[in-house]
Amino acid sequence: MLFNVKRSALLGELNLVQGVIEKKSTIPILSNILLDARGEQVDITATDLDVSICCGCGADVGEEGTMTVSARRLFDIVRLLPEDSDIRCVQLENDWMEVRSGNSEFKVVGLPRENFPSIPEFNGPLVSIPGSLLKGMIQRVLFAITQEESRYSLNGALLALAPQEIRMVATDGHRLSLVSKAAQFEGVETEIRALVPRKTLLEILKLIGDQELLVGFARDENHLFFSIGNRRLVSRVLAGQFPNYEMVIPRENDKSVTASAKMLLEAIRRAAVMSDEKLRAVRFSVTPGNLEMTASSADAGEAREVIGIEYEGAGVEIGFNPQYLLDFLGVCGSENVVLSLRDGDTQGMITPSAGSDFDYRYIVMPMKF
Amino acid sequence: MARTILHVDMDAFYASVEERSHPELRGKPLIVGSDPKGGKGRGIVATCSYEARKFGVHSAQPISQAWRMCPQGIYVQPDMPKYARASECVMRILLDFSDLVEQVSIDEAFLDVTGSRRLFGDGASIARKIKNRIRSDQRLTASVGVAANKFVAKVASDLRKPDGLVVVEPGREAEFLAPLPVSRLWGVGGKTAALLKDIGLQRIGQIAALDRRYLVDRFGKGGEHLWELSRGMDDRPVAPEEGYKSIGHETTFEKDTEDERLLHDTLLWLAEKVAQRLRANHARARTIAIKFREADFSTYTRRKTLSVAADTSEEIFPQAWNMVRRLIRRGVAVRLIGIYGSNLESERAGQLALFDQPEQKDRRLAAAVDDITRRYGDSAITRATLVSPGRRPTLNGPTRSIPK
Repeated sequence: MLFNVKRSALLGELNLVQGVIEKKSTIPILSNILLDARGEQVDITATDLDVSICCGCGADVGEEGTMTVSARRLFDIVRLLPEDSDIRCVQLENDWMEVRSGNSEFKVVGLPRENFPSIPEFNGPLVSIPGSLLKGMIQRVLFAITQEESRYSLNGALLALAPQEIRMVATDGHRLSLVSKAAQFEGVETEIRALVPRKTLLEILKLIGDQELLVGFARDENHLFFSIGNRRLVSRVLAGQFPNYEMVIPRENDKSVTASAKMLLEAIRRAAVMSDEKLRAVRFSVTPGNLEMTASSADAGEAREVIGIEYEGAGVEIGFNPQYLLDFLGVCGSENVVLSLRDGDTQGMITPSAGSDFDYRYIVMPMKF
Repeated sequence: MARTILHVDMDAFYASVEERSHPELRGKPLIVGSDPKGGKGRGIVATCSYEARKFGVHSAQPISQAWRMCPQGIYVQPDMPKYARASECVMRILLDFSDLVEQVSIDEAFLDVTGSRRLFGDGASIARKIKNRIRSDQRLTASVGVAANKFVAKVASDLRKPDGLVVVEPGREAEFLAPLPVSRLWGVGGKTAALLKDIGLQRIGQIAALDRRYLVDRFGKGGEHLWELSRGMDDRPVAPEEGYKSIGHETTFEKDTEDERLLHDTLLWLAEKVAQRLRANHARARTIAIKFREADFSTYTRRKTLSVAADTSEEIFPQAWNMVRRLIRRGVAVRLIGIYGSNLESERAGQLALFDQPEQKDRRLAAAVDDITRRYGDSAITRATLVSPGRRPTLNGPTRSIPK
């Protein structure tokens, strides 16, 4: 294998695959990427066995071939080379690779390509989803995915793709984010449902970036396939039973408060400064025209914030983890939000007010004091 | 104005409580700890009476060693609930003399009585009153140190055990400490003591005589701390804590084990115990820690902070097992494992769950189990995994409670 490549082209691709590479992998080959120089291009594959990314860039291939090298080392070398440099990579004996550029010269240890896991392929037709739509939906659910590894079936988001609707749901057991959008999806006959791992969603966001493109999607029994531009991502489907989220959508929340998203966000952020470090709760007190937020901590002191709201009705008091609300307000993308409540023990629901791009509902369980 | 701090330390606490309920044991070498099994037992001595100490037995000693030194001793397994009840009674007496009571462990506490002197007299009189109350109300003895700060008070209480009372007048701390060995300083263990000995420092007075900078250069930040302590300087407040800081259980295996299944089952059983105690104390733990000791005594601890506090084994066990699993190495036998819950929250406060699963269902199950064990004892109900023959983990640490 021998190829010449532009630093900028190679760096972009190496950067994309770093997130997949296991930092502390116990299987050495998973710290490596597979390089495959063929025709006028070099393909790069990285995998952690759960998520795999295949990408690549144009190259002047002198001799076709494949090999694996450390993803981190190659990335560091390429990153630190001068901006407009040309890089020449040559496969040596015993899986060593020589990297040369200007006066810099490296010999990098590799591993036999035979040890590199094979990446599942999908040869059927793909469903097209606009990239910006998928990205907007992922951004609206990602933060609600649990960070606790032990709650396996919640380590991802539910993706449901119907002929006329796409929907994503994520929860950590205390709040739930539900976003959907009506659109036509050709080639979808019955609803496709899959639990998509958190890491996969993060990588999809990275692969879409700011590009306007169509994302191809398919699933087989155990895998999800995404094609994003000329890059491919293959993910394992998360096993397990996603909770019955329809059940927790509140239907009897009769108190509906409209507030400015920005004012609410800023007031919560300030009040949260004084929330108890352990409990981390902010108390919300709704009265006609006013929403009062208070927080106190035995060690630190107290905070009180009041904002004007549109509300006529009985007063209600409820406690929330401020971070949960901030997560939503940061991505909701609308000027005003509607918070619907019933009492201090029932989950609240918060939605963007009319005119939002998505049907977006966020359900939060209260905290007890 | 100098503060008046008392350190109250119960004498051979577990042993004294046992003697109180079994007067026939009085004056005999009594050793509270795990079952010695004729010298083959593998736990440790929790505490022992002063008679047993004459044979060289001391707390934290391997029980097998105690057995060799004192085979005629009377060996009793710890009854923690009983000691906890006795401790509570003692702490209540202390609260009659000051609001500022900081319980350090089951059998010792600091009191700041600066504000109580007008009412009860000087430090020495308060100490005598406390000792008398503990003797008359509880039929137990305590040793008390009186000084202007916590460190000196603690050293003082330990000086004339049992039933001691040592008062260090303000301003005479350095003089009091000077002849004592450096190992009396807080934070000086075997290693530091050896280092200090290497440079010829064996008495606290020798450290106090050194230049502060010399110690800082030699030992870093710890050096400064040493210098201050050696002169009897310590300004930490007596900080009353509400309830426990952590709740944990650990166990030493009968035989060092590599059996992953046994480790798994034992850990599950420990998780049950910790969860039960959390619930009994109306607490939930935000942080779960594990302790893992290999046959050669290499000890590892790992901790994980959860987004929501836990009080069921369903929540605690997976976290603990995840941490333990990563420490298991082929060919390395394990001596002890333990689970600790800390960062405790009150069960009444906190985040409610969205789904009736799994936590709320687990909690209902846990409540039912708690009810059964309260009525019929610990062995009345347990997990099926823990009853298969030969798999039942046996516990023999000082954490054991004997069902009555």
